[in-house]
Formats: sequence, structure tokens, C-alpha cells
Amino acid sequence: MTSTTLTLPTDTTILVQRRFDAPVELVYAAHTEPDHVMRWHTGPAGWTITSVTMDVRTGGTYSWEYEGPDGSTMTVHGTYLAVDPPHRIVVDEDWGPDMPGPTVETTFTTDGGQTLLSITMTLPDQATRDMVVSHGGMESGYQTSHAQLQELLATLT
Amino acid sequence: MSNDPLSAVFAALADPTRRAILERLAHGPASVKELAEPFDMSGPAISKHLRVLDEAGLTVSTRVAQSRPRTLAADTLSEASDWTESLRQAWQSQHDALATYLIELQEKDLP
Repeated sequence: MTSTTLTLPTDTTILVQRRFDAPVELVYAAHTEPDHVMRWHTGPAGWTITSVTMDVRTGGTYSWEYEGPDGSTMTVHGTYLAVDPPHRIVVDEDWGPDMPGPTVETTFTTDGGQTLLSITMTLPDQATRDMVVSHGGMESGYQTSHAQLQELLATLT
Repeated sequence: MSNDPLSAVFAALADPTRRAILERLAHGPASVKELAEPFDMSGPAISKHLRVLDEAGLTVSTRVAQSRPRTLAADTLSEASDWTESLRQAWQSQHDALATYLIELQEKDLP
């Protein structure tokens, strides 16, 4: 089983990488077609994805809705800044009026018979980046803080 | 702002030279001169990197010898890696689900 790596290349970025045994076109489709996204992007443990709308083109928007074990809901949404099938997607994640959200660049690269998925999240500043990193595995956060959930889920898109 | 300890650690880790210094120190203590050797850098430039690492609590300079050899402060490093590990695991489980789904999709396509 290959594993996902996470590194912090600069003060404001998080880089997540994973190899998949599938052609680049298929991995791209899994990220850009609602029926595919619904099948795997289920959110944190115990959560389910209930609705996916996405208009995958530059300037288009996306909105993914999740429901938690206690019935609470949350939405991850944003705007596509760049779409270059099947190799690259850049989105601006919307964290609401009080907080600038991250820019997330996802690239799909053919590597041997595999696809290398690279997700680079760029946060507005180091403090926000560190907050995302340090809240990453707080299971209790899922239950108690909607704001934390929003932040974490933003990083999962 | 890098006032809190975690931010100082992550800021220190964000530089490739400092990461290389830490990797060297993982093999044992080393003097400033030894640490500077692999890099095409002035003494002051290396000292600055070492100061950042010291201030983040990632390295400790021992005063026993005049060369003030540095040692790795393993506790600080493992604390930082615990933070990132939690987030990595969240991604890992999402990507495991994707990997499984991609296999299903490809098997479906076979005649």
C-alpha cells in the first residue's frame, strides 16, 4: 500500500502527495466529476458527503456538503482559479468574510504506470498554516467546533 | 507571526539548509565548522541558520568545548512531527478510499 506524505515546504504551504495505480485521466476524473467525488470524498471519520455541485471551469464554483454523526452539516465551497485537464486544478477555498482562505493547487502527473497526486495548499500567513496543521487530527474538534471543521475540511478538498 | 513555539519550529523547518543541518545532526553532534562544510555559505550565514534552529528549540549548543558542538533536540522535533502526522493521517484515509475506488473503477472497465 502506498502512503500519503505531508511536508511543509515553506512557511505558508502544506504539500500532500500520494501515488495511485491508475491513469492520470481517471484520477483527474475522480476529482472533477460529482458522481466520482461522492464515492470517495467522504470527509472525516463518521461523516458522509450528501451533496456535490461543481462547475469545473475557470471562474466556476463548487460546493460540497457533509453531514456529521450528530446530524450537523457543513459545506466546503470555493471558486476554480485555473482548470487544465487532466493535469492541474487551482481553487480558491472560501472561508467566509472573516478569514482569507487557502489557495489549493492540485496536480496530476504521470509517473511510471502511476499517477502522482500533489496538493499544495497556500495559506495567507504562517499562523493560519500552523493552525491548519495543528488541528489536523483533533477528533474532538469534529464534534465541538464548527469553525475548526470548516478549516480542516477545507484542507481535505 | 512566529511567537508561539509551534510556529517557530515550523518556520525553522521550512528552510532546506536547516533541514539538511538537522539531518546531519540526526547522526550525532557536530561542530559549527562540520555543519558548514557541505554548504557553500559564509560562517555568518550558517550561524544565522543555527540561531534559528536553537531558538526554535530544535538544536542545543553545548558549551563543553570551544567549538560549541550542536546536538539535535529530539523532543521538539517529534512534537512537531506529531502535529503533522495527525493531518497526514486524515489525508491518508481519504486517499486510501480514493485508491480503493480507483481499483473498483478499473476492474469494472475490464471485459
